[in-house]
Amino acid sequence: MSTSGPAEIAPTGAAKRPWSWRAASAGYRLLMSSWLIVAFLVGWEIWARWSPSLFIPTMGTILSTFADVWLSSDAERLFLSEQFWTDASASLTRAGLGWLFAAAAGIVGGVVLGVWRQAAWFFDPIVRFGVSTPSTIFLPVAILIFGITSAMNIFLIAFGAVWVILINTLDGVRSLDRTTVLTARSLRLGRARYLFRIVVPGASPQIFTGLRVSIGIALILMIVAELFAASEGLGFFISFSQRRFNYPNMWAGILLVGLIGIAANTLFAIVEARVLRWHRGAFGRDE
Amino acid sequence: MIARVRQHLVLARGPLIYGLLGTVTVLAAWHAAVATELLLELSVPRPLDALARIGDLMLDPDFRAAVQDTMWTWLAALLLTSAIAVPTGVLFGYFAFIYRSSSSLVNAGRSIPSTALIPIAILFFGLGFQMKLLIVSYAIFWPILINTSYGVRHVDRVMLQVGKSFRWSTLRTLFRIVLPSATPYAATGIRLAGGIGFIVVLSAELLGASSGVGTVVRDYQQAERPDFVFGCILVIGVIGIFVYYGLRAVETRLFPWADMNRGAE
Repeated sequence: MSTSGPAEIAPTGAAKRPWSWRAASAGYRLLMSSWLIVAFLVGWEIWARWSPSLFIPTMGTILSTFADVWLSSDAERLFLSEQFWTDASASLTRAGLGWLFAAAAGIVGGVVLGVWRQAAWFFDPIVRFGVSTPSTIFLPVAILIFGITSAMNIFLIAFGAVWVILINTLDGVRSLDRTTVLTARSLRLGRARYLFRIVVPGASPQIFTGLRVSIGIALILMIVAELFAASEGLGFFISFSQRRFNYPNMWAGILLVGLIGIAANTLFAIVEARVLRWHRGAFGRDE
Repeated sequence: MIARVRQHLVLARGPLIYGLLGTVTVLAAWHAAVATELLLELSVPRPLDALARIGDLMLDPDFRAAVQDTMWTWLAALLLTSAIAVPTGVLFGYFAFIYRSSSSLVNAGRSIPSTALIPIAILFFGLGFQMKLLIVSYAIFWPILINTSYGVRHVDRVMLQVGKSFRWSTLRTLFRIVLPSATPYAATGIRLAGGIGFIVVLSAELLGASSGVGTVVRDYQQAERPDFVFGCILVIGVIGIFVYYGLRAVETRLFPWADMNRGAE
């Protein structure tokens, strides 16, 4: 126990330290978390200069191409270029809509199947098929049904992302705390109150797990569908640039996709931490 | 007597009967949608036609070779990446300095959708096995790494203190305390990676690889044979069920105490 004493005191002590000390420690943390990324970028630059290759432009080239292609000085367009508003917003709209449909269907479906046993039995084979079939394989089907349209992308993203949300919600509802469920029953809570006060909050940590995983899947599918067949969008931009041998543009596209992925995950982590503040298990996941 | 039999059937066979009923209903709805031309037969075949094509496909040696090719790529990537990502994850989780330094790079890496890298991988490695292996490995490296390091970081503190009071060396603590309790997390990471890897290998095949089931599906789609496309999808779905539930079964068998729904992406 002797080691835990000082460790427990330290945080309260830290809050009272002078601002210079706090600034220094914040700077230290920033340095710790960013030096490897900086080293990676510098390493890339050195590598690209030492062994010049058409396929790997220098970081400098990629960044300046990125600024040329995606940014502009026009404040009315939020400093984003025409290209951004055609390709990136097309991709983001598709991914966003598809993911929202998946989230709505997955949560509602998971709750219904979670509380209604016969329905869960009824749909069990379908759910098993959906959750274990790799969703990209439905791409040809989506194209056969919808043609090469935005509806095709949205359908594919929604169809691919819905299963993991559904199955996590279902598991969350099924593993609700017994005592809570029995208490709710003995209080004779109405159906709606039972669902919204007990079931959904109780299952929310699991629902969020499903939603988190589905973001990655939605982005993968967004890009696959656009690489395969599209007339606009980031995937289209990447493959178009590649076919035109315009490798700096291709890398600028990939960089933007990466940044979008990082932004989506960060945003989601913030929302999740806020909504699930009360849930201890949600803390300390990523620290 | 009859009542008891019925009760028994409802209790034990309930899920089975309802499941069969559900499957038949969905197939019937599918059939009805095609028959009433709600879905055009040009794009969606009748379910019986699609089921019949499964037989044709299984008799086709080219298709069987393509399935083998896909599954081999998937397995090779899973084994190879696990061999790299698990030790890396242990390293990242065990040493606070490495963990803090690498976490933003890891977060960036796992956030990039692996399929966006397919055009680059094609530039470097062509359309063959290497390209698929690389793309799949990139995609599944992160979940294995993240789950392993998560497991290492969540070792019981009391056990670590006991190790410390025994004055165990770093290595001994690692092998006697940290690794045993982190293994189930690594296994969860590998299971999740199995599912993601299957998605990505098929993506790479749809997008240009020269061999594998994905290429067969692409060819049938371009030849406008939706019955064969759906036949392929049903076969892949069945394989997917074996992969998904097989990996889960292995995990529960090896680590019965593990919580199946733990794990990040």
